[in-house]
Amino acid sequence: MMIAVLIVHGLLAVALLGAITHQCLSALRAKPARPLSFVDRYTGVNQPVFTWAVVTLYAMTTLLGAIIYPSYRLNVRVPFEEMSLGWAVGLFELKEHFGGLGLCLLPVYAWLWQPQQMQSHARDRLAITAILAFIVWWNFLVGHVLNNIRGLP
Amino acid sequence: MRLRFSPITFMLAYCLVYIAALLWDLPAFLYYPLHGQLSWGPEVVKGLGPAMAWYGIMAEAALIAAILAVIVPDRWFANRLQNVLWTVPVAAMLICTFLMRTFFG
Repeated sequence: MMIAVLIVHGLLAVALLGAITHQCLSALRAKPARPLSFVDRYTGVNQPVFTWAVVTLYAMTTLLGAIIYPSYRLNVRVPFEEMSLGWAVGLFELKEHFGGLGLCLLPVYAWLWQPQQMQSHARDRLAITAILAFIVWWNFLVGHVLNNIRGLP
Repeated sequence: MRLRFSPITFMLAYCLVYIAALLWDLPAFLYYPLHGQLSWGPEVVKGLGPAMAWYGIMAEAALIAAILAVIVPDRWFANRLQNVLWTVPVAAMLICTFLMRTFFG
């Protein structure tokens, strides 16, 4: 059962990674007048349409992560400690806390991408989106590396 | 009176409570995955196996932040903190990283 939840957690994380990266890079790059290259087309999207997808995917991914977490605590972290892999435990601790802090960014992130806020808070909108993107990438890579060291039984 | 939820207040309060709970080891409750039990407060109950504080920290941060988010209006922070809002979660993440340094020593 936990393996199935872990796989869905991973698949949702991939979708989230794609959506937030797309939005973040698009927000960082000025929209070209006439898109020509792949990068122009990749970044030349309507950024606000990604917002609710990101919020929903982030919340669902975190929820599934919270369901898996006890299994990690018992079946993965304990062996890590026995193998003296303190750095691996530390990486997961950061993943857990960044993920938890990312949750509180979701309401303000959704608010910043509303049409009413488009004329103000430009730096906040870009920075909060970039922070969320960083958290998603960090959590994805750490989860992947730790799962390679020792997956859930 | 109509209650309005302030996302800025929620983010600020959540970050502050989360970091305070982490810094002073004050989760609202602990979860023991081996037995599937909860204990209120930060005191670890012996004999129940490893304890998890993350749920308790998130729950208390979310609850306190949600209450403050309907009490303190957005406009208090929206103008004063315009374009520096992002520094608060960045600071919270840096403090987390500093607190976790012992794992990498």
